[in-house]
Amino acid sequence: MPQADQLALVFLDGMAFGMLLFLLAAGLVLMLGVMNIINLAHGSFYMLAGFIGVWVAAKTGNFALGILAGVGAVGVLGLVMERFFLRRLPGKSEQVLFTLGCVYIIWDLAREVWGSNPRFLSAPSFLGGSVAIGDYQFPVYRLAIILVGLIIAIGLWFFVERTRFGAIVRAGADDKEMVAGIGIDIKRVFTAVFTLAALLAGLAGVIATPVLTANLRLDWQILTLALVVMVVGGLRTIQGALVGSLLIGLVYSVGIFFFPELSMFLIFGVMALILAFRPYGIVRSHEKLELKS
Amino acid sequence: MKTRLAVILVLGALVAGLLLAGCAAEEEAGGLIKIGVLPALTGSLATNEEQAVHGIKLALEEVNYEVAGRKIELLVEDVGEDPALCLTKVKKLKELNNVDLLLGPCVTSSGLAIRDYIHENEIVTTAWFCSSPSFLEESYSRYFFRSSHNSGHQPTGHSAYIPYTVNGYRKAVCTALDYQAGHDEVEGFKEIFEGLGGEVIQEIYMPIGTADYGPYMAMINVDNADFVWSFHWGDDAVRFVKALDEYGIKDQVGLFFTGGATVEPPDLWAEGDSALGIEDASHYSAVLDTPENTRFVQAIRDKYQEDVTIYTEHGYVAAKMAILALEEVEGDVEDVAGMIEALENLEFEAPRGPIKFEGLHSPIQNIYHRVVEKVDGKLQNTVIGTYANVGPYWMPPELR
Repeated sequence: MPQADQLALVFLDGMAFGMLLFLLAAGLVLMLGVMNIINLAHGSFYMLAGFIGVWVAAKTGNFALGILAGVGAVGVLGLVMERFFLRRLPGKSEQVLFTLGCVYIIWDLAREVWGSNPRFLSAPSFLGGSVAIGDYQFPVYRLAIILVGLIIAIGLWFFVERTRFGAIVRAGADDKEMVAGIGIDIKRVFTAVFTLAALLAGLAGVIATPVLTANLRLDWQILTLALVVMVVGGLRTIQGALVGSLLIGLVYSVGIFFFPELSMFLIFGVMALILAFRPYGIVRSHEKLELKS
Repeated sequence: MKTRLAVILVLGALVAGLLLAGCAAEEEAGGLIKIGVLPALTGSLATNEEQAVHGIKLALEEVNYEVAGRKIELLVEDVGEDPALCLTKVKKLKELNNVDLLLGPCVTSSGLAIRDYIHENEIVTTAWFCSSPSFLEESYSRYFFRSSHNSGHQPTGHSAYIPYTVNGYRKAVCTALDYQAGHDEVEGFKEIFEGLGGEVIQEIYMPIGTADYGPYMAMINVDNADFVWSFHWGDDAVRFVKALDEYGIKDQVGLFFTGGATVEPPDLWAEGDSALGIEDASHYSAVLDTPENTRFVQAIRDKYQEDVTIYTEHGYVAAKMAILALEEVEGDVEDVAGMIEALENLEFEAPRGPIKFEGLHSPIQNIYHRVVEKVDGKLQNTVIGTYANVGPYWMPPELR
């Protein structure tokens, strides 16, 4: 019979992991919602930011600089990818294929530069240590992740729902011809959204490194989880991304505790159930997953 | 008329040239010993495999790439992570390049993929890992040797024996990566630990690539356990060790792992201070204080500006095994039976200490009780105990 402190630990773990997933899924949701494109290189952005963050933080001894470097580098990469490549590709299928190509290129580059062994970044000392929960300890850093995730979730929601730019983004998702028709450069909107999503992925990548390490398996692993989150939570809304990621985080955490060898199975099992009974995702949005050319 | 003459002359010259080249090649081949090397230079072991190749090259440099007047040529082929690719490369090395010996591979699945081919083609092979017991059992081949250890038995046996006899632990929580080797390791541990009178109160298997080890920490029965035992490697080992520290498990129970795995460099360096104080049993340590090891570590540092890991040492010993056998047969690598006999009777001082085979195809060697310490700002596996003459199927005296 699990004790109270064990359950508390499991719950908090689920929340923290869920928040990491949210940061990633939020970017994907933005891109899918506005540009109707699935960026397969999203996991690669995450992984690359992690490696760069470790590298810079190790050289400068400063965690914040590591975050800036990782986020900045990946943001620039996203900007370049969209502005000079994605924009010029004719259809959605070609664009997705291009992002797939980028996955391989980024992976090879990462391996060339950093080698095949995992890299670790320690949490900054003011976020180090653990708090006691019953007999166990829970790392302060993961509590910080939960907090950061919440702040960003609220910030994103505000941005999309309450700012002018957010309104443009939402309008572009619904009807981009109309948006262009009222004189807004829709291409610039796309570039901005793509870059923002990349920045989010980069932030998630660096923040996650003290928990997940920077390693060459992350790109596909994280992308798969983020896609599951999107399917479960609903594809087009930030709220959906939040609900989905917290749910998946909890399923993972609770699942491990009660069925240790089945963690991945449970996650995909939940996804299968959602697809069977609520194919639009938990938070109702208006479209199922479709790749329109 | 003239054109036809010209054509005949040209063809004749070509044929003559080819014949001459053929002869010359054969003459060269009579002298040159070709050794194929099979590292996985692409994929998740790439960096470690490069270190193994460095070890191999060092061993060959020490004899100037020459034995008994015959020059040695290394042909390095990247076998990647796909066992089918390993087999393809081995076929290429044999059929196109006519190699006399093979060094490698590393991963058991690749070794199993090439086993039948090297057995049928009688190619003497020294692998630098391939530590599965199946190479001594159902997949045994008289041509296949290895410089590593015997998973699940050596040094696993001591990872059960030492905590019981030296640390006085009686109750263990076993954790391992959830795949065949992980289960084999736990079985091997249980056989000795329970045989001596200990109790395994929990067995927890974790999928390879588990993202977050936090939830597993809540499962560990810290109230009842004396220690946690682990078989993890790679980025999983790093996350696991970090979690043990961050969730306070380390403060509540002992940590005694099996060697060559969880707290082995280079993963150890990524684990940082979280690994301090963790004990394990292993057949090598980079800081082993012997003249041979000190010399070896310095040589690698001088030549490659890198720190030695178990991969470097295993590669070095695999190459050294081949070289010593060649010296024993006075360079007559074509004498396959002679090579096998030489390998089976090898006895020498490796960086890890004395190593011998006594007819077996896997080493009999020392096992060291190690603990992770920080010296001069750097993490290392300090040796605090030595157990000599440990064979691949070692059993403690109490259980024989």
